[in-house]
Parts: sequence; structure tokens; C-alpha cells
Amino acid sequence: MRTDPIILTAAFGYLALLFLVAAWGDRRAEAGRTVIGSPTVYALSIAVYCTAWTFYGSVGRAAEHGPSFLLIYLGPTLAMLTAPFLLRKMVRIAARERITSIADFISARYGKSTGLGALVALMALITITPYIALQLKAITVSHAILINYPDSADTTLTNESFWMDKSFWVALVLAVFIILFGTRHLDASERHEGMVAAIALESLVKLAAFLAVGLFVVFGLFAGPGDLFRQVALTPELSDLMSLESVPGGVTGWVGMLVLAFLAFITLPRQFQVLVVENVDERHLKRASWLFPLYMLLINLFVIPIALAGLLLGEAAGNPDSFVLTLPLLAGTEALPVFVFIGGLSAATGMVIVETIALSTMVSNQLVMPLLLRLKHLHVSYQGRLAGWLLGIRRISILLILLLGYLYHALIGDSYSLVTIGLVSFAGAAQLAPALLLGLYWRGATRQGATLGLIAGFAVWGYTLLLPGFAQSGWLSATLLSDGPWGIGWLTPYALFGLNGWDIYTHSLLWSMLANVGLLVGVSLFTRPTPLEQTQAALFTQALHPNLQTTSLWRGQTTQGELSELLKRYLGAAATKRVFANAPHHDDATDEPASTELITRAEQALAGSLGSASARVLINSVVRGEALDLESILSILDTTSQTLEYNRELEQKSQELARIGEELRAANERLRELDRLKDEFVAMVSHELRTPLTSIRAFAEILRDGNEMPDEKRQHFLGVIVHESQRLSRLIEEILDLARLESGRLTLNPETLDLAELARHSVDAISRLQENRGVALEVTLDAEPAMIVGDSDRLEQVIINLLDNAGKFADRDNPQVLLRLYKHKKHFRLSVEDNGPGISAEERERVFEKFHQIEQSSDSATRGRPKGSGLGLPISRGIVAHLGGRLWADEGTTLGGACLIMELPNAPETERD
Amino acid sequence: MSSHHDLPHDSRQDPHRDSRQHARLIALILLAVLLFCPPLLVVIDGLPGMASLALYLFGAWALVIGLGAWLMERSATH
Repeated sequence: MRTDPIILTAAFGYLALLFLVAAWGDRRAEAGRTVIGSPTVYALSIAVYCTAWTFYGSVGRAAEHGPSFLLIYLGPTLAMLTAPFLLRKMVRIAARERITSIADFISARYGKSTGLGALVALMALITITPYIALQLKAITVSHAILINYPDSADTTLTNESFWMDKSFWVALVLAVFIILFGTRHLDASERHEGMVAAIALESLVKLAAFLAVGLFVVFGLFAGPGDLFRQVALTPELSDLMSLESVPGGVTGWVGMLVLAFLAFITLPRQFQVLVVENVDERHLKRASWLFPLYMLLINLFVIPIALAGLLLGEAAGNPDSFVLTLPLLAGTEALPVFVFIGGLSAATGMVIVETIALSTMVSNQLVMPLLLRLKHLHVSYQGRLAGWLLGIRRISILLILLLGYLYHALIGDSYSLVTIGLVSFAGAAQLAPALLLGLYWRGATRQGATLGLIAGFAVWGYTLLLPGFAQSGWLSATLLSDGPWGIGWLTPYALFGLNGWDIYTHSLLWSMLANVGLLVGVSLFTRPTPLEQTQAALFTQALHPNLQTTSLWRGQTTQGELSELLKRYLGAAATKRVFANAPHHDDATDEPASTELITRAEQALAGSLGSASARVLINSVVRGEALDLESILSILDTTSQTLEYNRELEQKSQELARIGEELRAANERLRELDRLKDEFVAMVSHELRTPLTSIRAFAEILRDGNEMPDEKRQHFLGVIVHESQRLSRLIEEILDLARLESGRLTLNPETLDLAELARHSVDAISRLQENRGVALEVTLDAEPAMIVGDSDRLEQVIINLLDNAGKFADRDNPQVLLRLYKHKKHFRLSVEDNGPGISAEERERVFEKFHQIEQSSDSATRGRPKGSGLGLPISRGIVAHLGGRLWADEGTTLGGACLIMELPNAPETERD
Repeated sequence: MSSHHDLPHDSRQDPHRDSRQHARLIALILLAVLLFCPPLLVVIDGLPGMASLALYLFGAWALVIGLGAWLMERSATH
């Protein structure tokens, strides 16, 4: 099965499948039914991070340096966790400014500087070419292993001329693919939907292939992970492999690599492309921030088992970088190696596709376009054809970048192992991080600072990592590494200034970042940014400010005609029409002034195709006036934020006012209620006092005037007067009691006493009165003794009052009253029940109001006056409440009339003794 | 008064909830840094068992991803 035709068919068949997927994705995008509008597809496209370097190299690194391979993925995990802050800000800026690449991003941040953009593009080109070479190498080597196994892969590679070299053809096929799907629109900031769909598919394929080989090794070659690790434990030189000791540079190297991976993940051009430029929806970041780390965890799950298995099998497994392929071959399987080869191919092609698109955009927008704009005659003589030119430039640069990668691979690629090339590229890309990250958060970073920092950092990187690579491949004398240039020891690339014992990447990262950040900060502090720089700095650092989206940033003037002319020249008629689609009467309005929104939209359209620096140059050529300067932007931000702050304070104040008003209203209501009650009370009292007084006075007058009155009549009248005076004095007594209760001046003498005895005593006191009325009084004392704390005189008054009331309201013909005393939880309850009409539920609380008389519709007429002052119950309730108890009315359970229940707490033990 | 507090204030609670969400995320990032960095790794590396460090790293990684997923998806549904 491992014959060349079959493998080539599989490989090209796979690429054809990618073509189909990409074409399908683009077709769907044109129909408006995007296939990449899902956060999962977005997360999978980010997995372009896992290249052939992950696929083959991770095992190699694990076999050599233990767990340090994981750092390459832990760094991005940390970076993805910052997605809601850092990445969201970058995505927001890129969408608003129509950013096309990381070079464009940095150039736009520092005043849309052409020079800085070109510098970054150049740096990216130098840094990434070896990385592309690495992917081509991986494809070639894996193919050679597949064909030649069990012979060494190198036997046939060396003596072939380039047209026999598979990687040359692979590069060409990829170039065709990328040209077809990467340069369909001129507008580079528009999504390459087909490409993203293809990349997401590739991510699935490489994950499946790696998991397949992992499962095969653990469960096919060995009897599960337990068996594998048992065999490893028996091999002493392997058992220490997975400890911290095998990490190059130890603890320092660990931290250095973690930082390096974190920075590189954000600054690698292909990651910027998928993370920022191809992002369809900011909200996708949320899902991706954990799904992508999960992907990395899965694809690394079997790295250690495969590495250990390969090392256990020794010589037969060959080079650790190709264990993934040689282990299935060793076991004699047929289909699995081909699947693994396809997985590696998909990892490599995914990276090459995205990286090349990102680089070609940079080359055309940041390097070639600014040069073209300098040639004045282009402005006039190539109207409308420039759009085509730009696409041509981009296509040629794709081809050149891939050929450059191939050349690098063919000339010096063999001297490095896979991981080495990858990490050198990482350290180079990380040089962009200070300008990018500081620029996002520090408004004071200036163009000069960024430029000098980038150059210095890049130079140190070149000296400490790139140059030694050349020396190792024999292009430079090897003494450079051992003795330093011209024998100067402290200039040795791997031990600069005598810094020994660090691993080469951490060493390089330290010195390059020191130079990079140091110059960026130092120079920025002593240079003055241009107005445009200040504006851009404010726009970038305040990118998440809510009011920035809607602000139009142009104040200059131009006509619609001039603007449309400019756009037609560079973007073509169709794109121009799109920009002018919303402009009012665009047909015959060539002399009308263009609105600021139109100018902004035109600049964005140009920036999306040509990069922000070129767009600015072009817009400036037709617009008189300036973009908003820093001060106006700051004032927009400040006024809006101040207004917001004031609004918030005002809102708080008015809420507080409303709350206070509510309280005042409630208090006023309460006062009025009290006033009304007081008036009622006074009226009631006067009424109650006047009734007996009137009869006393009437009878007294009769006695005074009627001299011939018979004696017994006189006696009767005197009796009435005495009775009414008693009633009057009792009423006054009650009113005084009530006044004392309400003012809190009622004095009680609490003592421990037996409520049962008190009840009996009260019953005795009232029994004669009840007998006179014909009331049948029944007493049930279930709890005896019932020790409580209370004032005996007052409580007796309460009980008598309750019994008296019950007697009055009991049934007229057959009056019955029941007094019960029983224990309820920690209280004693004394209930007095009658067999009268009862009290309706809504009346039950009102009987405790002062002067309340129950309306007795049928009885009131026959019974005449109400039977009491209406003060007894309120006073009783006040007394009981003073003693810590409760008094309330309820439905009678035994006799069916009203039932008044007094509840008093059980006396504490100590007081009882 | 209490009814006043029951009124919905979505517009004003959102930024508040956002800032709490951010605080939780920052705490998670700090936790991840702590878990992936040397002081703890040196301790784990000293434990007996030949793959303890690798097992720990994968475990800590999975934990961080799990917590991240929980935080992100929770806030997405709210």
C-alpha cells in the first residue's frame, strides 16, 4: 500500500477535498449563508497554531527535553484566557480600522506610518520564511519515510534535483490553492470564508490522525497505558525523562518558554490572521477561549506515551521527530501510516496557507503599495486598472514567499531539527509584541520608540538565534559559537555578556526584550508624537470605549466627485458603488461636498484593500483639512464620559429624593391618622362622659324642683344618680388607665404568681353578677399551677373584664361562658368563650380599638345602650402586652361564640423558686 | 421601600455584572499562571512516581480549561 502512486493520490486527493470545501465555503458566503459563523469553526481555525511542528516535532521535543514541549501550548492557553480583554480589543480595533494584517495594525497604531508598516512586514518575512520551510521539510521527510521505510529517509533525498523534489511540487500546488482562495477579493480585510472553512476541516483531520496514532501506540503496541509505563519504569534512563531536570535551562528556561509561547501566539502573522482579521463576530472569542485550549490538550494527550514508546523500542523507531510515523510502520500496519501522513500534510498545509496569505497581504500593502504610490504617473495613467494590479502583486508575492520557503528548506533546512526552526521563528515574531501590546494600553508609546525598539530587538534576535543557525549549517565559522566573533568572549551569541547556563531561547528572549522594551519606553518618553499619531494612540487605547464607534473622525472637505474618482482608480467601479450606496443622490452630485461619514467610509474601504498607511496618503491627496486631532477625540471621550458620570449622579440624587419624598408622605399620612384618632377619641370621651352626666343632672334637677315627690321615687332617683356617678368615675378611671398605658407611665408590680389561682379568684369575684344575669359559668383549669410573672391586681382586672364581656355578649336566652386555662408550648393560655353570636373575622382586631362597639344589628335596638365604655379590651390588651403576653380574639371552638385568648409566658425557673 | 429595590435595573446592573465577571476571569488567569509556574512545579516534581509532573500538568491544564469554559459559557447564557 505504501507505493508512491497511492500515497501521491491520497495526498493530492486530500488537497482536492480542501479545494472543494474552500469553494463550497466561498459559494455559501456569496449566497449570504456563511459557514464560518459559528464559534466552534472559529476555534478550529485558530488551531492552525498546531502545525507540522506540533504534529511531528512535539514527540521529538518530548523525547529529548521532557515535559517542556507542553509550554508551547500552555502559553497560548494563558493568552486565550485573556480573550475578553486583550483579543477583544484587538478585534474591535481591526474591525473599525479595517486592519488587514499585524503590520497594518502596528502601522495604524503609530500614526499610520508607512515606514513602520514596511519594517514589520520585512521582519515578519524574515522570521516566518524558515517556518514555512519547516512545513515543506516536514511534508518531504514524512513522505520519504513512508516510501523508504525501513531504510533511512535520507538515502534518496540528497541526490535529487529540484524537479524531483516533492517539496518543490508541494509548494507549487499550495501556491495555486492559496492564489485561488486567498486573493479572490482585493479587500484583504474581508473574510476568506472558504479558506477558514478548509482550515477548520484540516484541524479536525490532524487531530483525528494524531489521536489515532496515539491510541494505536498505547493500546496496539502496548497493552494500555499501565503496561507502557511499567516498561518505562524498568528502564532507568527513561524514568527521569519526564521530570523538570530534562527541561533545557531548568526553571528559568521553563518560565522563558512560557512567556515566549504567550507572546508568539499573539504576534505570529497567521495567528493574527485567524484570530483578528478573520473573526466574524466578537462573541466567538468566548467559546474559542476554552475550546481552543481543549483542542491543544487533546492533540498533546498522546505525545508523552508515543515518545516513551518510541524510546523504548530504540533504534528501530529512528529519529524521535518521526516517531509518529515510524511506530505504526514498525508494527506493520498499512492504512494508519498513510492516515498519519495525511494528518501531517494537513497540519503543514494549513499553516502554509494562512501564513502565506498573511505575508502576501503585508508584502503588497506595506512594501509594494507605498512604493507604487510614490510613482506619481501611476495616479493618472492607470485609472481603474490598479485594482487588478494589486491582486497581481499579491499573487506574485504568494508564489515568491513559497519559493523563498522552498529555497530556505533546500539550502539550510537540513541543519536544524524541526523544533529548533519553530522556536527561532517564535522568538522573532515575539519581537512585535512590545510595540503591539504597549501600544494597546499606553498612549505615550511613539512611532520613533516603536521603530527603534523593533529594530534593536530584531537585531539582538538575529544575533543570538538566527546567526548561530547559519554557523551550525556551516555558512559561518563554528568558532563564532565557541569563542565569539573575532575571539571576543563576551559577544558569544549563546552567552551574551557572559550570561551562561540559560537555554538559548530564554537567553535570546531576555536580551532582545530588554533592548526592545527599553528603547520603546525610553525613546517614547523623550519624543513628541505627531497629531495623527496622538489621534491613533487615543483611538487604540480607548478602543473599548462605548462612544467611539459612532464618532466620525473626519473634518476635512472634498467633493463626492473627487472621492468617487479616487475610489474608482484604486478599487474599481463595483467597490466604489458599494461605498456610495448610502450617499444621497450620488448620480449627479459630483460637485456636492462629501459628508464626513462618506470620507470615513471611503478611507476604510481603501484601508481594507491597501492598508491604512496608503489609504491615509490617498485620502489626504483629495481631502482638504485634517482628521480629528487628539484634542477633539479626547474631548469626545471626556465629554461623553463626564456626561455619563453626571447622568449617573443625577439619577442617584433623584432616586434618593424620590425615596425621601416617599418617606415624608408616609410620615405625614401617619400623623394625619393619629390626629384623626385623637379627634375621634376626644369626641368619644366627651360623648361617653356627657351621657351619665346628663342623666345625673336631669335627676338632680328633678329632685331639686320636685318637693312633693314621694319618698320611694326620690330614693329611686338618688339610686340612679349614685349608679351613674359610679359609671362616670369608672369611666374616668379607665380613661386614666388608658392614658397611662399609652404614655408608658402605667406602673406594674410584676411578681411570680399562679394564674390558675388568680383565675379562680376572679371567677369568685364575678360569679354573683353572672348568677344575677343567669349566665352559666363553667371553669376548666387544665394547667395547675400555672406559674407566670405578672401584676395580680391588673391581671384580675383583665380576667374580670373578659368574663364580664363574655357574659354581656352570650346568648340572651341561655347564656353560657367557658373559662379555660391550658399550657401551650412555653406559654399559658387563658381563654374565655361565650355562646353568643361571635365576632366576624374582620371585626376581630377592631374590637381592640378604643370605644369600639360591636354593631349588633338585631340586638342593639332591643338591648338599648351598648354594654360598656368600649375601653375595657384596649386596656386589657395594653396590660397583657406590658407583661410580655398577647391578647387576641378568635372563633369559639366549644360554644361557638366569641373566644378571647390571653397568652402569658411561663415564668422562668429561677424566679419560680 | 423594599418594593423600590425590586424594580428591574438591567441597564445599570450589566456593567456591574461585567466587572465581576472580569474579576473572576483575572482570578482564573492568576490561578493558571500559579499552576503552570515553577514554585508549584518544583514541589510536584519532587513527588515520587516517574510521570507525576506530566500528570499534574495535564490535570492542572484540564482544570483551567474546565473553569474557563464554566465562566465563559455561564456569562454567555446570562
